[in-house]
Amino acid sequence: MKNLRKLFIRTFLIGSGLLLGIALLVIMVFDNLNLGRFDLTAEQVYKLSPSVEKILSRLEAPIEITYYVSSSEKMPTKWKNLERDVIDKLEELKLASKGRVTYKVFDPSAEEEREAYEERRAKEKEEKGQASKPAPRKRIAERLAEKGVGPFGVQSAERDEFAVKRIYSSLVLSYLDRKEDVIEQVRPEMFGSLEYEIVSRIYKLTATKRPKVGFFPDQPETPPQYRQFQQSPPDAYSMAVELLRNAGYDVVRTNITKDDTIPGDIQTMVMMVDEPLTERQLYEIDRLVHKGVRLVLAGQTYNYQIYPARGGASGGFDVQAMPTRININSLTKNYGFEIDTKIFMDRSAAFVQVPTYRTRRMGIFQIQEQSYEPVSKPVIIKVNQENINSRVSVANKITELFYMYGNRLNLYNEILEKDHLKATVLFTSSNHSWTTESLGYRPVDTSEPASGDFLRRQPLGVLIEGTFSARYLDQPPPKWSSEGSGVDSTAAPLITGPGAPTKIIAYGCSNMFKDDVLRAVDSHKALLLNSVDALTLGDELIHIRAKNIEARRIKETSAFGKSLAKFFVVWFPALCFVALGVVLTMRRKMK
Amino acid sequence: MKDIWIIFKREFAAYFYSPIAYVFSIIFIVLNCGLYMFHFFFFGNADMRAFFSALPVTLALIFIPAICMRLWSEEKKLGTIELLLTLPMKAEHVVLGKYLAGLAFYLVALAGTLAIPIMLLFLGKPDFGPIIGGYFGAVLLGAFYLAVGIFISGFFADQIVSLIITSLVCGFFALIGWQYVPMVIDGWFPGLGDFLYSYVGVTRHFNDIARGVIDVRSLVYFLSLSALFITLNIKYLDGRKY
Repeated sequence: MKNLRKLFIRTFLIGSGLLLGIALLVIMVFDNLNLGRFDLTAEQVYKLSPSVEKILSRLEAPIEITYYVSSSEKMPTKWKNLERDVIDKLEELKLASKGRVTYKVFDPSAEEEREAYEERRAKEKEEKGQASKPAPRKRIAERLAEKGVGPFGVQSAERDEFAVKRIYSSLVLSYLDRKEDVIEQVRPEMFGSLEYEIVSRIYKLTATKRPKVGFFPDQPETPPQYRQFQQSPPDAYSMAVELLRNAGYDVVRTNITKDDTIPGDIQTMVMMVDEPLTERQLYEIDRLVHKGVRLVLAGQTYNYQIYPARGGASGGFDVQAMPTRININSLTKNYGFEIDTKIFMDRSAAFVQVPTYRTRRMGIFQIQEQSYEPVSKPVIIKVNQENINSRVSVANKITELFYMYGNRLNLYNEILEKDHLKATVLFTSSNHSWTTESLGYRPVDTSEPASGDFLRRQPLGVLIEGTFSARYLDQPPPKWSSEGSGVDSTAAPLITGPGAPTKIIAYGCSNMFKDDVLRAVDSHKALLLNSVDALTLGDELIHIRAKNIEARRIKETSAFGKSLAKFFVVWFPALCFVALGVVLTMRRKMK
Repeated sequence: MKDIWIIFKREFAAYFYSPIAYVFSIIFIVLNCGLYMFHFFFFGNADMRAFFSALPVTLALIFIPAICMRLWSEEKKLGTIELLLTLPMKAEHVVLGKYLAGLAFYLVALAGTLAIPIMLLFLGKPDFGPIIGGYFGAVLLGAFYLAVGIFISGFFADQIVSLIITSLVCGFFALIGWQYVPMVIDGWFPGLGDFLYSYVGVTRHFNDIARGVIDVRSLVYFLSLSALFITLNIKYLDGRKY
């Protein structure tokens, strides 16, 4: 009997070991297989967009991505899941690319600690005379700084106090011997756009040459009065151009004149239209679209002046509309849209700081003081996230837009249908927008219409795809303005034959890309880059969705509401268990 | 099936006859929900990440060992195990009956935490995907810990010893899924920490499901390890006949 017991224990132990080994083997085998996953999140944030696989399948050489990240123990609460989320995304990219994308994770903080420890040890040894001074070598922080990777500060809550932690969270993409591309700060709030960020950089890294983009207008010419002071006139779009150049584009600026024509080899033309164009300029744009060059077009029919109201109540401000007199609509009507010529307003408005002057008496002197006052008017339109179409990549990282004095876009469905054009609205106004006519130099009436007269969700940004009808088809090209009006029958090629399919992204507001606004609002930078990326780098890139896992916030809750919620969650179920116990005990006793 | 049902009914009712079960359920709810609510209004997020992130440890250290400790240990102490094993029932039916009763009791206690999603529904617009995923993960996690617990309970006549050993083993599975513990182990035995983290630790797999991503790999992990410990428990009880 005793022998049987011993035999059983031995057999049981060996059998248990074997079964444990088999179970671990099964887990290991399955861990290396991607048998599918079910994403239960509302926005499907953990699933790759279908276009990504197509894009990655075209990779000819492997791309290595290194994620430099501080360990999650060192991260603030909100950042703790970031590493796992990013690694999951990289793992999905690796699987989708069938191994062409590889990744590794590196914790520079751990390396810094190791360096500090080794340094201390070496110093101790040196002091004891056991070792000579080690040869100096670059620290990890210096080596990473050369790549463009550095720690950055993030806010954290520790012991009921806010503190700033310096952490690493950067992605470096390496491809062959090309210059590494760096996503400097990978933050939880950008997780939704991370897929797009990585894939668009892969696109640029693997391209044989830098994508070329045309930009209108060119830097303004320096008038004589500026020359004598060695100054240049203000360039409203210098930052937009810089942004595109920093994003890896070869940007060629052009004023579309006889001596400064649109370069022939551009993939995308960016047009910021502030003033009327000549017939020849319109012709050149038409020719460009006919050739199949993609177009980002932003223009608006009004600018506004906001000034303290004269004779009105103190603190009142008036708005005066100044028409830009742009004539781009004569062209775009053929493409199925136009920038509306009426003044556009929306209840959802931001504010601007308007300078005001006050006169102060100091004895016999009078001093005029300048101060800035915030003014909110319905022409300073704010586009909120719920009005932004996150199903297209153009909306990546766009949380809100300041549609400064912009117009709505009118879409002509009959033209869109006739030419089989596909229009995708990128963002709209709110449900409380309206239009009004300009009244010359009189102040604009900014009062809201009757509740039933509001316009609902008017298109403000639109992507149109297809083959556009050229306005100047088979027409002789107009002369450049410097040669006077008429027809230039010799130099320019005619627009003939069927056009090539292309894409146009149009915005009824060019102010949002001007330096002063662009500098202040990151969403506008993202919108410009996304628009150019989506049109220039490939059709698939447009279909990478903007995914958002931003925290869903709870409503404002009163102190009573908070106490009630705490009671309901913590004590109510516990009391239910107590009640259940009492009832069951009493029933048993009665039995 | 009938035998499993008979054992299930007996064991499930036994939980509710004992006041200890109520005490542990209340402690489980108050501890987990209390921890969650402690910072809830400070962060103001309509999600349950904080609740589910603490669950692997609180379940491993307190609640599941408490459910499991009496499953076999009590039978052994009272001497009823010999009677149970000589009944005309297969060992697997007895084990499964007891295991499912423990699981059902755990689900009843877990249901007590459903007050959180109800509250979230009133206070915001939560994404129910990760919440459903979190509860599904909590069921798998509980099922796994219970399998470990019932297996360990089979070895000891003393319930307290059973509770402590189950806490230690389940705690090991929970802690090995954290990044820090494997890092320390890797310092001593290079590669071992990483292996344990990737294939043995429960937290990584649970966290995936709690985020709203149900990966087949995580299902394989939970189901295979649960099946392993239940099988071992059956085999061990079968062997007691000798």
